[in-house]
Amino acid sequence: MSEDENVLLVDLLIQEAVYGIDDAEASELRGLIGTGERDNSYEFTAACVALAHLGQLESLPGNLRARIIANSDNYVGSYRSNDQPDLQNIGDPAGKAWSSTWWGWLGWAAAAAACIALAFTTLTDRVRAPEVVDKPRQPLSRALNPDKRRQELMATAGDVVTALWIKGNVGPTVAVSGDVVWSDAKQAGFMRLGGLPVNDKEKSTYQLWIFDESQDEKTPIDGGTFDIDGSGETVIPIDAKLKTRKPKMFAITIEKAGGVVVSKREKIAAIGKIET
Amino acid sequence: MTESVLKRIALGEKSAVRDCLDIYGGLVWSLARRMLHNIDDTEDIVQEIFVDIWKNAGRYDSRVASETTFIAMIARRRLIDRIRTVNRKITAASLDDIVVQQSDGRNLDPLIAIEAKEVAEVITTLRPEQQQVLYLSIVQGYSHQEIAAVTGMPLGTVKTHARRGMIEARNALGLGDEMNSSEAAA
Repeated sequence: MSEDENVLLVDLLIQEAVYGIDDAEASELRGLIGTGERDNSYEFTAACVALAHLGQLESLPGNLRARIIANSDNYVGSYRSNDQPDLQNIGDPAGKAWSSTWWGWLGWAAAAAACIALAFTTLTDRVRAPEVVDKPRQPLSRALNPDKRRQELMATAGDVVTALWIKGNVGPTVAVSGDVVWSDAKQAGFMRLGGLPVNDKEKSTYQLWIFDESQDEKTPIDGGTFDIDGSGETVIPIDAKLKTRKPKMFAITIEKAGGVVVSKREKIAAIGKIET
Repeated sequence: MTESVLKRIALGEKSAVRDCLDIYGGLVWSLARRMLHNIDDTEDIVQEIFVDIWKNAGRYDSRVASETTFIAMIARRRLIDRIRTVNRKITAASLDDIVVQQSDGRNLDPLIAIEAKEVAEVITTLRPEQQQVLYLSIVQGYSHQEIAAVTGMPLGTVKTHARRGMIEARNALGLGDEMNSSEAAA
């Protein structure tokens, strides 16, 4: 491919990713690509830019949600795999003429993987059976209060990771502060929290979720429930229900009293991401 | 262990549809509202996007992409297709909204919030003019001519920022071959 053709190819790929292309442009693009692998990296770049500017999400309207669910019966559970269209052709007026090779898909997938690695470098290789926690391996001194036990953990464990809390989607008056520390070796950790509102124990509880490399991101480890009794900073031990490996993120949700098995993540009080 | 919601959909698990809508309904709806804010059939388009998602759920591979980006990609393709059929014009009201704003991460699923934040941090490494042009073109859907009218930049300058901004964003995100891109950028 000549330099001029390469410049034109990039122009068309960017045009396609940002504004879409018409039939003539699609034909020109096909001619430039020939039998080569289609480059979806600019479409993925555009998706990343859109994601970066999402801002506050609006909820899907209830009536639309109901329509989508009703309509899904035509596709989910009854769809035949050989009916599946080529993903590359969605919304592409000339897309039916595109090569629908596996290699084309791999090109998109590779680009996607590169971007996602920015955010979740360890989402791969997660299909492992969870292990029940065999704690305490090296129990911390139970006689000490949580703050002292936190200090002991920090002093004795060589693998402690730390994340600072940032506010989730709770009200604007909430100003969460503090951090979370965790040691894989000791299977122990503590949350230092300030700013969370006192919860009505009869109605609600705070619940910690641990996103680690052993679990799918949709099924984080339950880190236990806790209540906030008053203002000021408090230190709360983490009660992980499964063995935790290399946590990447912690999230505190507000749930019904007693906690839940799977959170709908409707009320997120705080998020703490391990900085690498 | 629970499969991803898209894998569950691909396996025909009907309850996964509701889970998918719980997690990504707001994402798709918000993308559509941002891109189609003057178009009155947004609900129909969003319904079509979810049909695309149901049909392509089996192609999702968690080893290579997050569900968030997979779904955002599908949504954008459908939305761009719709935009191309409508001659959307800049309104006086929309002009007042033209500021480059990064996601503040509020009201997002934790994973979406983290992903948005990290991508936003990468985007901020671009020149401010490039960020502005990418925002107006990709997020607001403005043509190069419209961007020139709004910002006062010469049309050629807008095109240069758009092209180089995309190439540099692609490289900053680790998506492309910098050698080839710089050749193409010449």
